[in-house]
Amino acid sequence: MTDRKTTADETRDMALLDTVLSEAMAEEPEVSDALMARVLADADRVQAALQARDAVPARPPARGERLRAIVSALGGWGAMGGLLTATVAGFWIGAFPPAALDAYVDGQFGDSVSVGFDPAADWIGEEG
Amino acid sequence: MDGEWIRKQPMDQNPSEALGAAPDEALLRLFANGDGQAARVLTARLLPRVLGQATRMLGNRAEAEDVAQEAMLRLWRIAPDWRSGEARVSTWLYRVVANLCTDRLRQRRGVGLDEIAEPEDDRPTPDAWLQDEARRRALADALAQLPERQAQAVALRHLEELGNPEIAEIMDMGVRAVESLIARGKRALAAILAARREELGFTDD
Repeated sequence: MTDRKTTADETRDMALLDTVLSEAMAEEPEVSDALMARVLADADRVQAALQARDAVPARPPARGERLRAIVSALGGWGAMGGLLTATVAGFWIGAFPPAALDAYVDGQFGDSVSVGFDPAADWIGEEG
Repeated sequence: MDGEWIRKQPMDQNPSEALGAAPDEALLRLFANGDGQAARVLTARLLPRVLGQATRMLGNRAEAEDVAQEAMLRLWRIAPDWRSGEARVSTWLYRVVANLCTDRLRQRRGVGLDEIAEPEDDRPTPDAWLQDEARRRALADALAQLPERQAQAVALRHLEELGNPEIAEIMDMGVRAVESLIARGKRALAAILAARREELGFTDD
């Protein structure tokens, strides 16, 4: 395609192209039985793989999954950390009570005392 | 919209008749859900056009069959992830086949025409067949020399007879850009083929 090409040349070349394109356009190949079989075999193979993949979540939840569900219901692993710390501390205090706590517990069970967390508060409603 | 179609189907309808009237997207969903007939209905409906597009663009039956099988395989694989309403199956297939064909044409560059496998053919007039075959191969050979987007646009317009707006959708570009691609592609193709005018049986008036 050069500048020397005339309009007549271009028209002639374009007519040739149109002929070649329209001949190609008329081609309507028939699907052979062999090609149909190849395509359907692919479809069956892919579908079987999809079915196998989709079948996996249908089994009952495993132990780990149940634990995860419980943890999630209690507020996630962050909340579980706090819960665990409190549990261990409670166990430790129960098994090895510190001396100060002993004295306090004796006092609690020996005499009747009242303890105000805030001395100024009328928390038992005496002035009710 | 395909989900809507599935819900509307009367329960007592013959299943194969019902599938025959189903939109492509609905059949694709049924296929993904394990329906045994959906792939057969889809293949009967789509494969002739897919094979036709590949054959017209490649000018070679054996290669076109490989491309058609690959395009359909990609359709089966995308079925579970198909999002309805995003693109039509036909549009998607035009794009996949066009891309697969230009990949093939690119690989063919530098390969002599004689090295491409002879297609089987039972047409009775060998001279006419040879000339027809020479022109078909010459067109594919010329398409192979074009930039891929130009080759795709020209093929979709002049071999598949699609309108420019649909080509724009298939090629994911603007209509004016498509028009420009087609114009440039046709000029380049005409020049390539004109150089082989006599060889292809065209005689000067």
